[in-house]
Amino acid sequence: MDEAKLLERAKAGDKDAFSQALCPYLPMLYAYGRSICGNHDLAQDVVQQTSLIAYQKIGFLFPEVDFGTWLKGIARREALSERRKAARIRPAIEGILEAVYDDPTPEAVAPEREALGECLKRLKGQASEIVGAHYFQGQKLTQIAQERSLNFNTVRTILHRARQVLEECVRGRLAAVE
Amino acid sequence: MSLTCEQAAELLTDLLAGEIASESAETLDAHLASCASCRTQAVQTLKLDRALAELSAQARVYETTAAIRRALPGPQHPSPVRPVARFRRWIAAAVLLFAAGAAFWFMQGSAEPAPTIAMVEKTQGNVSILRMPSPRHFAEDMMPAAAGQALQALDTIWTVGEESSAVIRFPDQTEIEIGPDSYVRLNDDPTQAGKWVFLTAGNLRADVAKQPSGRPMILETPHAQVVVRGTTLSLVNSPQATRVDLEEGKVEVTRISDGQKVEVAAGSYSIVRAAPETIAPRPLPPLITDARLTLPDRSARTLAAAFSPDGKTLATGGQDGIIRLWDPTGTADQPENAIDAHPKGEVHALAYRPDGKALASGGHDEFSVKIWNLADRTATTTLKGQRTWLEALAFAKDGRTFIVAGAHGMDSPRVKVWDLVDFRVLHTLQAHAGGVWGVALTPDEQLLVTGGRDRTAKVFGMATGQLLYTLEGHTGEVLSVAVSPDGRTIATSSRDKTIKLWDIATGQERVTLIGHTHDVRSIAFTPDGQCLVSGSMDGTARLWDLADYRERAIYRAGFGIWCIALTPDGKTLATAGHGKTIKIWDLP
Repeated sequence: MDEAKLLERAKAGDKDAFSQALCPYLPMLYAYGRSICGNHDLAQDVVQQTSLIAYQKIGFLFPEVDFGTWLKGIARREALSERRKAARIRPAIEGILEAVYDDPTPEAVAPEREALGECLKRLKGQASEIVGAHYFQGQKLTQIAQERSLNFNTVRTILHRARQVLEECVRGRLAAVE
Repeated sequence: MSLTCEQAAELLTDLLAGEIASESAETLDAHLASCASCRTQAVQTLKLDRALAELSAQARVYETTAAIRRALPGPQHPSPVRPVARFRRWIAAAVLLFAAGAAFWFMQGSAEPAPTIAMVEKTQGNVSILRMPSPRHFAEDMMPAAAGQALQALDTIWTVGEESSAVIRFPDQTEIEIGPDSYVRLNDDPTQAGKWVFLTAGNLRADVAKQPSGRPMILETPHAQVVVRGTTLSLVNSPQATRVDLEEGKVEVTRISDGQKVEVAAGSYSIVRAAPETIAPRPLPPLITDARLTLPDRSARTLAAAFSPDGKTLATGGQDGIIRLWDPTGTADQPENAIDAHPKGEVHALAYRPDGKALASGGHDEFSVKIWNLADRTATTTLKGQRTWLEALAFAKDGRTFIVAGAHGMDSPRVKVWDLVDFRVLHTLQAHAGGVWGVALTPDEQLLVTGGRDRTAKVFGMATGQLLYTLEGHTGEVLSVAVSPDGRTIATSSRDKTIKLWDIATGQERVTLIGHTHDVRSIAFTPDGQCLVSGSMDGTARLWDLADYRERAIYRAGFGIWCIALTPDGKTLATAGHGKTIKIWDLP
């Protein structure tokens, strides 16, 4: 069933239809919330809150509005609210963030995700552990450092290098596919 | 404190991890504001961060969805299409199938709670399976699909997005290839002893093994039912119609609304629209696979193409940011004739000035449009300030009025109309909710048509910049727009795989052209107005006869077509896209 039909049913109160329409956007909402809050747990709260608000306000989703963009707008408000005492987001950083998330569709970074799946298998040792702990288990760097008896700067450097390796690998894979 | 780019990258790591001190964030922001290359790198880093975070979230999406569903307020609505009685009959039918088909090679043994009726052979992109956990449930669980996964009756396979597809295989080797943005359900009708597949949306291609006598395979859409005994066919469903193309064998097609039946044989197709339109089969159009000329493109993807006003030069632009100029009457080994137009980004839009002496290019770098003097290959004008990755450019006949639009970026909902002599913006049109993929002027240049990511096309008055009306009906983003030479018809093509023709005077939809099985990215009217050419990511370009809305020919390029271009005399077609080649075809 296409998104328009699901949203029609969602507006009529069908929770299952709403869940199906929402589901493809959940990874983006989590990633977006995480990029604003810098925190896995807060990002999950953002996803939950956004979903509830979207369900309650689904009647305000007019036909000409893109569902993904609408969800992202709600998520932004919730994520900024979760930041609370943290400093406001600076303008240049915010500009870059909005450019990366400007396309909220599930397929926006689908090629990168697919390439990443293979590239992650190539990460070994501590790099693989730290990327796994930080992204897939949601651990903060300080927690990772404590659990592994490592210096915080060491963990930060390993994560930074691992990201560079992944970036190169993804770039290479995307170029090879094309 | 000033930063090196390496230091900025490290601070970005801290920022993304939520571990950056306020002062450092301030320093980082100031550095990014002043360093363009660092900004570009930061975008790449954030894109990777996004992909990583989405990948991690995708692994949890099933439980997240379930948790959200439980948390939603209000009573849960049972699905209107699954009354309890059908589930009890489904159980009985499943037991019968299990007894009758006990020789299946992928049966998992008595531990399987429900019989396996097919298997996922392979997937690409975002593919999910929706499954009813038990007959007592009214809500489906969703799980990512993977190769080797067993499928049960009532399972739905959902391919989300233009890059997604799946192949499923039945034990008798019947194979179904499910296209992008498609929704396919298995065996919902318990009275059917044979295979039954329901295509709610999208498209599929079926290679059906010979079915047992009396137990044909049924392929059904909301419009039509196709009875298949053993054949190869393609099925495309849109909200308006279903199309069945027969490659081999024959099938019986029934229009569900009135029961009208036809038999469709190999080499024919049938389109089932609402009654009383005929569903009589027609011969498949000729399939042309040999282009007159195949030009090797160094760019991995060619994303823009335009013929010069005299038809003697084809300009292409693509992923490497280089504009290449080709002689469409030359040979495949012609020397490279290139302009390094956008070193930092891709070229997504090209437009020749009507006098043929200049070429405009729009890129994905620094949001700039450049206008090139073709005599000396210099950029005489650079337009900046529209924060969007540019996708569409158009010159008016005066060569001075110039339209710029893009699909992504902060300014993407805005279309700008420039005066290139006075170097000022005449109008900023802000009517799309989301970016803009295509623009086209009417021949009298009174109206501007735009096509956008919000699934609509819009018509504006050029004199005032006011929105006149909106064309709604596509169920996917509108990727390209065109206006007929007589100014009476607007054509729009979409991610929903269809092309629509609209009457300009009334804004009414005239017809939906169905046949492509993927995004239709580019369309153009022939100069005589008798035909429309379309190019699609399904690897084909089609020449549609506008007298009867049938294809006169299908040109199979063999790669996803992103852009097409027609010479002004309408005799030559160029297709380009993801194949590292540009193909030149002679039109009839």
